[in-house]
Amino acid sequence: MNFEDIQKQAKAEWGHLQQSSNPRILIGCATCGRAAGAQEVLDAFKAELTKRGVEATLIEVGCIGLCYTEPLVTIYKPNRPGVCYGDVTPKVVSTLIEDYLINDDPRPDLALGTVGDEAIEGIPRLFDLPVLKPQVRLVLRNCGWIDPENINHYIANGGYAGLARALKMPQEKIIEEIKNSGLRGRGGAGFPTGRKWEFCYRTASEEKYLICNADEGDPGAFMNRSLLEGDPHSVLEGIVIGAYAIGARQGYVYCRAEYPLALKRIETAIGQMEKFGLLGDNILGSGFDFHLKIKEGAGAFVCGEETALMASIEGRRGMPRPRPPFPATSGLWGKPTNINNVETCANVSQIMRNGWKWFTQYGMEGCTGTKTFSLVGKVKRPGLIEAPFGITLREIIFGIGGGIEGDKEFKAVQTGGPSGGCLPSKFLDMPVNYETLTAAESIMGSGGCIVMDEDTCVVDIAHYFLRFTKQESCGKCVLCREGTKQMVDILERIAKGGGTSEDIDLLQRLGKVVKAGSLCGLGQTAPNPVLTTLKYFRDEYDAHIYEKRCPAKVCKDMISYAILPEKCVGCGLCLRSCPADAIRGEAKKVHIIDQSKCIKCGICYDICPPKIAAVTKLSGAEVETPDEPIPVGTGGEEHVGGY
Amino acid sequence: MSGDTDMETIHLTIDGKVIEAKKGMTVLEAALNAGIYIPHLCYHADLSPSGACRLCIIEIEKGRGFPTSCTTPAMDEMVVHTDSPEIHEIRRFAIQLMIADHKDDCLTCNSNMGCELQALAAYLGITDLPFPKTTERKELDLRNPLFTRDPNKCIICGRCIRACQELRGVGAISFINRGKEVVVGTAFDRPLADADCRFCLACVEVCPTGALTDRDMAWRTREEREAALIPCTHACPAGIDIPRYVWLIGEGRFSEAAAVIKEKVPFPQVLGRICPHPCEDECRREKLNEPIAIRMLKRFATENDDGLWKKNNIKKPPTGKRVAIIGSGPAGLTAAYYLTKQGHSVTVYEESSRLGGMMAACIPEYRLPSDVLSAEIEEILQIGFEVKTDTRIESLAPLFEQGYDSIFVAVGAQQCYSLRVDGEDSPGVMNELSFLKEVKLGNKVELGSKVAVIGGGNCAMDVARTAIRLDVKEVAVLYRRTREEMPADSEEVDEALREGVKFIFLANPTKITSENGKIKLECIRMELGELDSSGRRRPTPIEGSEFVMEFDTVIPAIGQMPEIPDAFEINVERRGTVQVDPNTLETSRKGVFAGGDAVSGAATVIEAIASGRKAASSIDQYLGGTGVIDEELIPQEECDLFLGRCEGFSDSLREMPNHIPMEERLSTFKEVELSYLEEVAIREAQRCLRCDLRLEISPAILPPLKIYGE
Repeated sequence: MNFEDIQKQAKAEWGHLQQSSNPRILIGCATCGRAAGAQEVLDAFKAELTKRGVEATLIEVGCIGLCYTEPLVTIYKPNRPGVCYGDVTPKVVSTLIEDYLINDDPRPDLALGTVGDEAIEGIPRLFDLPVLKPQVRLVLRNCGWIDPENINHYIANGGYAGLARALKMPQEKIIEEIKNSGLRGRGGAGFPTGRKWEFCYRTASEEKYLICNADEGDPGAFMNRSLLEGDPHSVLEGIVIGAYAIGARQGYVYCRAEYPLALKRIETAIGQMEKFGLLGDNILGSGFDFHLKIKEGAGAFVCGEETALMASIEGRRGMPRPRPPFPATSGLWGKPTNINNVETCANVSQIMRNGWKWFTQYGMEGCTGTKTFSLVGKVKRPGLIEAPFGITLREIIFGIGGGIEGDKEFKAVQTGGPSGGCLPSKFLDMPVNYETLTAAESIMGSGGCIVMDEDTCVVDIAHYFLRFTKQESCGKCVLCREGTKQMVDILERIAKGGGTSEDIDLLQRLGKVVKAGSLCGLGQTAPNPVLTTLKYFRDEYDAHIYEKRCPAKVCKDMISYAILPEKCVGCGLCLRSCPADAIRGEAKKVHIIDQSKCIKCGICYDICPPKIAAVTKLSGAEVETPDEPIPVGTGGEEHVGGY
Repeated sequence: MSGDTDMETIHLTIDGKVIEAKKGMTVLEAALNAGIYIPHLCYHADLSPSGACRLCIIEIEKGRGFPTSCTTPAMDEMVVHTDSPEIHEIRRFAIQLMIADHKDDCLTCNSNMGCELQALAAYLGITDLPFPKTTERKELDLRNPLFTRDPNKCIICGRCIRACQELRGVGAISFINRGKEVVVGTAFDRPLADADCRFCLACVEVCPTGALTDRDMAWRTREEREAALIPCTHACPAGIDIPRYVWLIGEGRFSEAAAVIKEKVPFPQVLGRICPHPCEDECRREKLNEPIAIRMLKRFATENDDGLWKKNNIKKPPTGKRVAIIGSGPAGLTAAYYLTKQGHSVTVYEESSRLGGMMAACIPEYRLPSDVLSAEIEEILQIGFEVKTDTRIESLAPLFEQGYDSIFVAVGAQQCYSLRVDGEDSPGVMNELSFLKEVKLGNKVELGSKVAVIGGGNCAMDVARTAIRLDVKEVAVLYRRTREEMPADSEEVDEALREGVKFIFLANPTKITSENGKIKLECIRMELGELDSSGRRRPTPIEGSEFVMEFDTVIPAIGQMPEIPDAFEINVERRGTVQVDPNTLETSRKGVFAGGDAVSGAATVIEAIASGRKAASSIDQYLGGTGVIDEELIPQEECDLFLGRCEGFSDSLREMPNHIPMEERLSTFKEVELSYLEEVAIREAQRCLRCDLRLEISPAILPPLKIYGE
């Protein structure tokens, strides 16, 4: 079958689905949706539809990225726009079947937005929502809207047209096209993809390899997983194009084993591609042979580093090696190898379909296109987003993200995963691209974006991330292995109140040495959280060291809890919930915390009703409390000093 | 990266100095080659570069960051700086970080003054640590008998792992865990033996610190070190290159193996049968399970020799000098052989009618068949020296008068020690040497039905095992200590027991009386006390424990001493041995040398051969030669360091030789031990740990002794 026939068949199937008189129900069943209860929602739909005898097509789709309101369901009825519902529960499922499917009431009160040209009164357009409006969804365009396990859905939406075009072009032309598009590697370093391909293409060798790096290891990052779960073919198409361009006949998708659904989706997709002649020998009759294998990684963070990744594929311990030689000259099994990130591959498919000029309309000079981010932390609307380069951090956090949870104060955003830097508010209006983030001493990384509010202690957060990189260090090079260990120890010392002025100097010097001298990217970036917090939040370190005070009131050894006598109503909630038996008091009497027994778990603080707010958290300050429980209302003046 | 065949010359500038290098070299190799030292720790000349220690970092003009020189290819016109304040800071931190994690008991560490970490810390001028020292103590790994792993001193440089993988192809060890928890070990922390370790100790050889150290070993000199590390060759009196020939057998190259043996001894066939193999006692494999059967391998190689060695067997042109050798035992014939090869004209005088000394006269046929010995002597004679049998020499003067320039006295130890008990001369008490000689000659010896042999050495075993082959009912060996202290080979004792010889330990004869053709042997029980000068516990009689046993024949076999005619006019020691200069074997009389049992007292064939070699060398020098008798019968070849993985290597047991059936043993004098089959020999040879290979590994390059900055 030639590609035109494949397309015709796919479009027919897709058209049939659109024109069907049966309602279509799309359920976001990616891992994130399932974690939020999508499986139960799916089961409820199945059961309820059968029970009520309603005919409808259920489609498990990927994630559209609105993590804050999952599970998500979109219902298409004939001659109606799609209606997207958030926070769907089995109970909501029966309501929707009853009200919308049977009685044709779209329930605007439950809906998030409509999808499509037409409108429904009382429901906004989904893509006009503040969370989606600033986004430009190129890579994620299919995620959540097509069945990721049906190749025809992908093809009907323009899929593999880029490959079909590429296979008719000379390799140099493809490389030229990618170079013109300005596409840069989305794995973090931002190296121009076209140039990378060119190096590999120019290295003469009978055997070459193309590897897709799907070893997304940053905690809190899920861009690649979502894409592979929601639209695997867009990635695989890019892989085949890249392989053709450089002249590789064998490829690998290196994906961590912790992504079982993504792995299943890739496997299914590979099977379909082979069936359609899009993979294997003589792809689309072009004479180009390319085979693709999945290699499951065991979840070591360092295996995202390309030399470690190749060692892992070769069956060796995943440890990086110094470059040169670069993979383009000597990579997997010593052969020229090209390694591209998942998102890069997906971008390649689009560029080859739409042409490089189309791509350059997005983004900014030197940094074209879009970038996906996983926006997490203390934001109102965490989720997977895609925005053009040049978007500001403010637009991401306050626009798309909806601002800080609980309307607290923004403190910092960490970009680029655990080894990125923590940027304070002065960078909020900085347009985001590889260079600006580097200049701010952070990194783009693969697109992690962790938002912190005023309750986040920078010493604690630096310690947290450094502990992660310390544990994930492969242990090969001494600076990373021992250096991160010593830095963690120093941070622990500071958090515990044992820090000295020399510690700051030592942290800074050691951080610079580890950054400059480590063997691979892991060590070279590991000190970033420490170095940036030292640079931008030096006062907080000083408070820990000189005042033995944690301004964010996080470091346990520097905080205490107290019950304000003038606020306590003597309800006894705190006393009953204290696990350490540290609270004394009786009904209608002001309760007292015995500081010698308190373990600073914060349960009393959390349990005291917000209306009363008698339990207070202190650092570097004291309040006067009675020695013995006294009757409520007899407490003195409010007397709180400092924090 | 080294080993590139492209030998194009390039030029690069390192620290302002233009140096020449070969294309394919790394910057570090180029620098070291040009005498420029760059600090390094994980790099080793024989191993692939790793880049782990971060010490060899450099800056390259027009390049980025701090690449490691061990992994950066040297390029033409490259401009390299090996030091800068930034580089210095990184290096110092790297070393300080290692030291903070390192147990430092330097003064009592096995690697003191040989430790590369120590040397680098000194070189970089480290005098303080900005970090607290670790207090964590990991357990020493003592699970293998040959070396100790101290994880507290491991700096995770990975040299051991690379050596195991790249040099040996074994891959028994690897990094385990990640980050700060990384240790070097086997999969699932199994014992090395279960990880197919070959115990070649390449890992120990390349370890830069005291993390891997040879167990219970210390040395001061290179010679002492080699002796300790390749103990078999060192234990061999003749210094045969044992690892080399064992390896050749394992490779199926038997004639070459035989040639290696022939390089040091002219009696390989004899030694293959009767050598008490001190090499096996020292074999390092014994610590693992059982030593390599070196003697049996020697026998196999020489039996499967097609004479390759003869190709390179050289006889020097005649010197016109003449040497007389008195005695045709192993010492005499060895000296004759090598002196002849040195071009001297040699005459061997033998008082009996057969050549070979004790080998021919006394060593029982079931251990050393006469035809084997004769063939071997025949081959030695082919080198061309004169032999005069049935000629007893009583005085040396006539020999000098006949024009001999030098004389070698190798008359052996022919006189048996007496028991020094009453009744020793009673009828029925027999001299061990006469007994063995008579039997060997095929003469009938009447023993009666019960025979006692007194003594615990190899001679006593020969007597007992010979007696039991004659028409007797019972043979008992009396020994004043226990089996542990017996000087006889344990194989000999085992075989004696198997053949039915009884042993009576801790018993010493005190009196012999003869009545009606029966001998009453009065004995006393002994007990073991303090250690004596031989390192064995001294036996002392238990008062009142006397007992009496009855025998038909008693044969004391407690040793022999030389009997040197006075007319030789050479000084002898108290126990009858010839006094010689230990370095030259020259006697008190000029031009007269002595060796073999005549000097040492009754000893072994291999010692006699060694002595014969030494005498040949000395006499050659005395006669104006070089004294160099060492020869290369096959060319030395470059050693293949690769061993490969072999499942169950450390558990493979010593191949035991087959024996002829017991009934045949007890009724005939047929050779008891059968030679190895080819596959068995190869299997046994391949058990060798190849202790010699580690000496082929390049030594580490230590920093120049200077304080940083000077």
